[in-house]
Amino acid sequence: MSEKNTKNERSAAGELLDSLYLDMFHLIEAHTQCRIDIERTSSDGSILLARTKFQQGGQSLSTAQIPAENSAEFNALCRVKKAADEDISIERHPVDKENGYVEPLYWFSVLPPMSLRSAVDKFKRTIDLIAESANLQRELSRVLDGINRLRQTVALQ
Amino acid sequence: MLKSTIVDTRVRLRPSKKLLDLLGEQKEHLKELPANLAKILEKNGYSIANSTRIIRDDEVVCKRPQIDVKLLNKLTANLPDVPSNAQEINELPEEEVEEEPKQPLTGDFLYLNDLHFLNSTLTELRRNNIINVFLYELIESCELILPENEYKPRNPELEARCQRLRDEQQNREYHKMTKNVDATLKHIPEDTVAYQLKSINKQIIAVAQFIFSVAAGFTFGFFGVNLMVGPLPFGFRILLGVIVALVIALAEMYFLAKKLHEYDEVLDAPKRKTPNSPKASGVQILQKPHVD
Amino acid sequence: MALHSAIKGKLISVIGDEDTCVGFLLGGVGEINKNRHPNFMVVDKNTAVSEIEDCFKRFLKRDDIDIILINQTYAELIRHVIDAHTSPVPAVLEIPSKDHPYDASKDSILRRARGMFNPEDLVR
Repeated sequence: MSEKNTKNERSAAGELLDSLYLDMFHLIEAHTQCRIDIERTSSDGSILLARTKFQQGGQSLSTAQIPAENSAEFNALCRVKKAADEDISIERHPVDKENGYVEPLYWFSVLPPMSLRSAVDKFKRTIDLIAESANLQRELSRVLDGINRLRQTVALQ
Repeated sequence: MLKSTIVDTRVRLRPSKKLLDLLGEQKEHLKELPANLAKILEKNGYSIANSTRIIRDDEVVCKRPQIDVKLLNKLTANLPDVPSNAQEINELPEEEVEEEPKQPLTGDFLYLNDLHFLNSTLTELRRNNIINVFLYELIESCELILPENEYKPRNPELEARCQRLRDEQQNREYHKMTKNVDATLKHIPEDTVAYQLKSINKQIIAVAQFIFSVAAGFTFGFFGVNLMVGPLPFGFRILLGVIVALVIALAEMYFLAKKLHEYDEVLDAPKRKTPNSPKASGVQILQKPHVD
Repeated sequence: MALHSAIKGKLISVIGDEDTCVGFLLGGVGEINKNRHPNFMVVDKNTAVSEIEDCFKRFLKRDDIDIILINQTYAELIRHVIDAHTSPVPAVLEIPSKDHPYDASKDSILRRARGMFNPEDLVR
């Protein structure tokens, strides 16, 4: 009886391992696809940034405009929110000067040109993709752990 | 060669002998076979039974399997909680050796739908008690090939131009940095009379434009409106002129500020001749060591 | 503090070149907290590898960061630190920069996946 039991367990483990492997392949593909989407949107954004630089002069978008360690504190507009089942999503806070939620667009120019505004849209889209990619990466990591542990279990039997 | 974006995101698996051997042995039990797998089998000298139907690649059902997390936790519950870090670290150093083959890999690859097909076939075979092999036992000995970047040769002309522009930019930065240090460079080119006159001219023109357009705005308010609408009281005419002039002055002020700001930037970066221009030999010699 | 950050959500931090940082800051991920610690780092060609490494470790230690974005070129420089980091929080995402496209064979997690296979007598 117990022999049959272990055999059942073994086949269950085998099937589970098979589906874990298949899941891993799916996740790798999705992961790569997501990174490529990130690459595409962020390079679109970079082109728009470059166009803004071209129109406004080379120093208009540089590290000098980014707040450094000694500048006043401010809060992030974009935060990561834990949804149900471990997945994360992006939560945006409305601009609110009094409470330290400043609009980063105005660090760079008082009257932001169109290209800079569309660059911001591109990068916002990229941040959404980042959250998606982070979810996939965590899931992939869980699946890899699962495979490792299950393989050890199978090897022990 | 220039690395460019990954186009083909499919995961590929280089099949091992073991996998193909098994498929070759079980050929009479295979009712159907994806085209890609059939091609690989034939290419490597395995025959396919006549009863096997070749199906197109897109006919294979290919959807993400559901993972039974509870079962996974149950099965691995009695495992000591030590993560397999040691194993991972051992695997990593050998990766360094594999960096070399940068050519696109050729050969036969299994794709995701082939693996799905194999999984369902093996499940079928196990249920009929023909063999007792799991997919993971077969693919463990295969090689996983991650999606690869495409390599494109870069246009040499573009490359040369980029290189030249990069050099120029670096030179400019260097000169800006060393301007205060290098005594010979210190007074070039800001101190020459011609340069100063030129920049004063530019600014004077900008300011003159400003004054001119404000004056024109005032004139329009003072005379133009009067001519159009009919006789107006003198005080009202002055008021009108001032208002129009103010509006124009505001708009013009914005552009003026922007323009003057741009001048500052241009002044900051000292203008240099390019290394190949046959001028200012002293400067040219100074530049040489910093070109690369 | 833990309660506070749970309500507000966690941060995304960025280590990258000027354009990447400017872009993501425009997207609104940047923050400078009460102790004047920014959650981003701009790497230029004068930045030493040890500085990147220190910054990365500092981000790992902060409990209000959930995702660390790092340009793949800079991730290559501190690969051993990234490989050593296996816990799921914070997640380290290697993102492509504008002049280096994403390379799947360098990504830590995909290398881990490839390490699961041990190829033997392959068909060429």
